[in-house]
Amino acid sequence: MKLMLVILMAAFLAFLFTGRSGAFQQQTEIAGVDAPMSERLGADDKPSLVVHFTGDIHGSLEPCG
Amino acid sequence: MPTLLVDSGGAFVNDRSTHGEPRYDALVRNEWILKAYSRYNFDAMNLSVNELASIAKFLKKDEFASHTAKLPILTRLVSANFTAESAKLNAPQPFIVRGIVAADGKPVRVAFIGLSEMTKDAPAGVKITDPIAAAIRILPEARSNADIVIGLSHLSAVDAVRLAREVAGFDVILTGTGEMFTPPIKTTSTLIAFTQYETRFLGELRFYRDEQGKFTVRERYISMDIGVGEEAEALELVAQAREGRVNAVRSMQEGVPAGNRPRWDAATYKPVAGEAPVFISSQSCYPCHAEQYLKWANSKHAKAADVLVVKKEESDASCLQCHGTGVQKAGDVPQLLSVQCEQCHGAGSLHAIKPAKGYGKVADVKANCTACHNPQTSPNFDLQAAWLKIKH
Repeated sequence: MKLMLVILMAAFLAFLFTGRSGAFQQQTEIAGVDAPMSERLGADDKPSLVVHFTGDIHGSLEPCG
Repeated sequence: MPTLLVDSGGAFVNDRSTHGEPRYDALVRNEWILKAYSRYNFDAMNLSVNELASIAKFLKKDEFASHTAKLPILTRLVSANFTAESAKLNAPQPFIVRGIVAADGKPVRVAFIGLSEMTKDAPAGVKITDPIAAAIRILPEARSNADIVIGLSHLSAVDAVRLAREVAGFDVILTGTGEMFTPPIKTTSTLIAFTQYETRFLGELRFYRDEQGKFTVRERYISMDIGVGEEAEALELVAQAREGRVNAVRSMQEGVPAGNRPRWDAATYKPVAGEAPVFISSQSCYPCHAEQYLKWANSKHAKAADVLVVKKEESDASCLQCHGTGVQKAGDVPQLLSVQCEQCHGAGSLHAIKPAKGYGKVADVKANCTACHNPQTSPNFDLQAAWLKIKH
């Protein structure tokens, strides 16, 4: 019974994780922590222009962690 | 790639004093943000609630030209729902149009409309109105002047979706919610992209123009961890900002070390020729002005620092500007706790050594009192009634 519960729980979590991750990646490209610079810059797919945006830095020019 | 750089709001720290005014160290930190945004040529900066208290200082009409000469970003502030109720303040423009030559060699005009969340805590002279009503009012004009219209906003996710649904015509709504990571939302005609917490991820919008001249957009986020590397000039700017912040905090702690000043004795003090008088406390007035001293000693002025002691803020020079004595011009470091005789009458050491008429006349009672008893700190202050209580 315990084993069944563990398997069910693992399957549920796997579904949650892959479901969210897959949908998320379809929508948004993320160059995450420790990504190489080439990934951060992204492929040159010839955009007409780019807008970079920042916000909520709360008076600090330094990273907080 | 032709690039524009914008901020959706929340750029300032909003640390305020008990009376709601921006703390001195917060003002210093926020000015460094303006310096950095000016240095790196931000194309637009939205004003959110966080910015209101500090930005008012830079929007004063009589000082605006001198501020903008040093901080050009001030000319690129945007807010469509900021209203300057005070005639002394400039209101930021509701939107700004930035022109750029696209990668295909053709010009593109991008309008950024500034929108802030509402607040009941706006500083004096400023009002924030309904962002959706402001967008409805402003968007047609922005649209007629631009190829792409972007809402540069500081709204909750729910309000951003409401904005997209109720106001047709935004290509993109950029908004900061202060949350860790909020994935984008796409409505039928508008992309809502969220500024990530503390810009730990830099947001990127890539616009593509098709043969009919119509734009499509896709969003990316780039982690701003240590792997990005550091630019030498940016590092220097950050170091200067850090030093400015540290000095500001230090200067706030240079007020009266309690029980440590003044050490002054009329019998032994020998003034040097031409020396400016120093503050010597009300205790020094007592021998000749006992009646006035007793009236003061039983007044609230004599206990004005008590509230700071309770809060352990008795060394905070910014509080002591009004809860202490020894400030005769802005930036002076207070010398004495509470509002003592010399706060109105001036530093009295030379008068104590050589008493004579001419010392201590208060030229402008109203200006003297209202420097501290202003609408923020003493909203019910009645000058005439107060004057009768302390008149001597």
